[in-house]
Amino acid sequence: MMSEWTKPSPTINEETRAYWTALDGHEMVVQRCRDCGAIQHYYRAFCAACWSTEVQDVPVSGEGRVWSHSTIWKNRAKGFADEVPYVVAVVELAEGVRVFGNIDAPPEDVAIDLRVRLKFVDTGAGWTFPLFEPIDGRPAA
Amino acid sequence: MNRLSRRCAIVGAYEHPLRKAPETNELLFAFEAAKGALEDAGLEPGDIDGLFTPPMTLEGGPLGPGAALLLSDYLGIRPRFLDESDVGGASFGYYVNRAAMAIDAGMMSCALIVYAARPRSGRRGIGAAASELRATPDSFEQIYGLPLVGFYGMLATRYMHVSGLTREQLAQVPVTMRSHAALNPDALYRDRITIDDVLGSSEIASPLHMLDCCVISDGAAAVVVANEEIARRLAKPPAWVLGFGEATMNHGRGQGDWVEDTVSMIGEAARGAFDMAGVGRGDIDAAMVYDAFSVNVPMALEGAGFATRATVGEMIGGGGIGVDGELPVNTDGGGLSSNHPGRRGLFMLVEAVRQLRGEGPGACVAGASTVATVATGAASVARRASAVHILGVE
Repeated sequence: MMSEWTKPSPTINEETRAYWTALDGHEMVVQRCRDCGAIQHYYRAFCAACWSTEVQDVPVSGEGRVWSHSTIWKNRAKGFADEVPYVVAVVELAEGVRVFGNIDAPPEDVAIDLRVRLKFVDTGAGWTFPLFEPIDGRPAA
Repeated sequence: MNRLSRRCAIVGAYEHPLRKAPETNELLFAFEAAKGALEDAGLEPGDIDGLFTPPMTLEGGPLGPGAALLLSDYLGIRPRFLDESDVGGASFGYYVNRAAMAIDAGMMSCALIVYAARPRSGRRGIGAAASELRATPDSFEQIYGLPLVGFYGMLATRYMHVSGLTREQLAQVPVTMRSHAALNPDALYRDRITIDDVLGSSEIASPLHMLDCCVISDGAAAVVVANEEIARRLAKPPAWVLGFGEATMNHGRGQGDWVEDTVSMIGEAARGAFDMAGVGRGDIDAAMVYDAFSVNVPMALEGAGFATRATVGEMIGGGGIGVDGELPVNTDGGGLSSNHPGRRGLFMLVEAVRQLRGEGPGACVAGASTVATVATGAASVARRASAVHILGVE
């Protein structure tokens, strides 16, 4: 897809490895607590609602709606300086958690409630980048 | 009324007049601010038995964790009580609160709160992501290219969506701040601007343009917080700490709502402050509101109860936060025009004191006797804290 990944790569530790491994398999996971039922993102070794350590991975459908967004026109950081303008967003997944992401669409096409789905980009840097794209290019009615 | 109300006062306040300080260093800059505050109070270095300063990282400077002990050594003082709690720009409000509690507990009688940073001279980009991401939480967020202003862009997008605040109303915030800065000889930028200037300035992170973003200045300030006994024997009128409150928010396991959580966080801090002070919103003669970005102001005014979500756009758009408006906000020009080296909270407290004394370098609100400060700060993205203060003369 691209010759070299110049943006920052995640630091992965033993606690968070399963999240990134799932992405390599083209799946995003959130977590559900076996004790209290709470769901959460980002990935932890315990439930941040009740502190139970009995948490399980729940693969998400990958579909959601843009909860908020901003088009970045200036970012001097390595890997992003040449990419502006690009869209950062918070996407509310169908499962009810809000995750950060980029929207692979022209800035003028992005609006609150735009329906999006995940696709997975091999960075060539040893990890997989989750990227949202519009489902039909139109905000949900 | 809470027993902590009116038990201590800001007795000395000083904002360094320099906004560009290429010839000095952070420690010497901090010394000059501290000396200015002590002279303003009429106190000696030996009177200080508490020191509060933030561990600076994002805006540069030599003092990381351990800053309070290192600065004590440099200043040649030996305080009993130290604190360097870090909630970003709201840290200084936290220091006033901790000073008030330590004074009440008999741990301390007279605190110096000091800050100096030189990101402008050091050419530091405030809010840029570090190259090495922390596994948690940065790796889940910063891989997407989210500069600090990008968070506020998303916050503004969402707040405008739920409140109906218009882009033009939002632009009135930097326009008003600049009109105040025009009257302040120390402010970094003093040329008046229009709504068209704001909307015509380069877009940084939509919907925010360059003039929606705070200045990056060098800056230093200090205040002295003293107990009742000291406050009553000094020459200048004390700015009594009538009430204070604080609250935090975070990402809530990926289920936080940044708009509602921000408004309720500020609301919780404000409720604490107003309840402690025993005064109402209508008693406030001026407010200093943390304005790192234009959108901070309407959200803080709503959160603190000075407006409702339905009325805040009208209040701002109709001149309500101007120096002659119903609630003058940031009479010195704020972070948007006067001074913002990375953390602004201390300058807000200094300006509040100046308004109570009628001795601001710029605009003065005639007869101001009760002033509120509404600060927000962050560790990263929406891991935020708020500190609200009500200061007053007797």
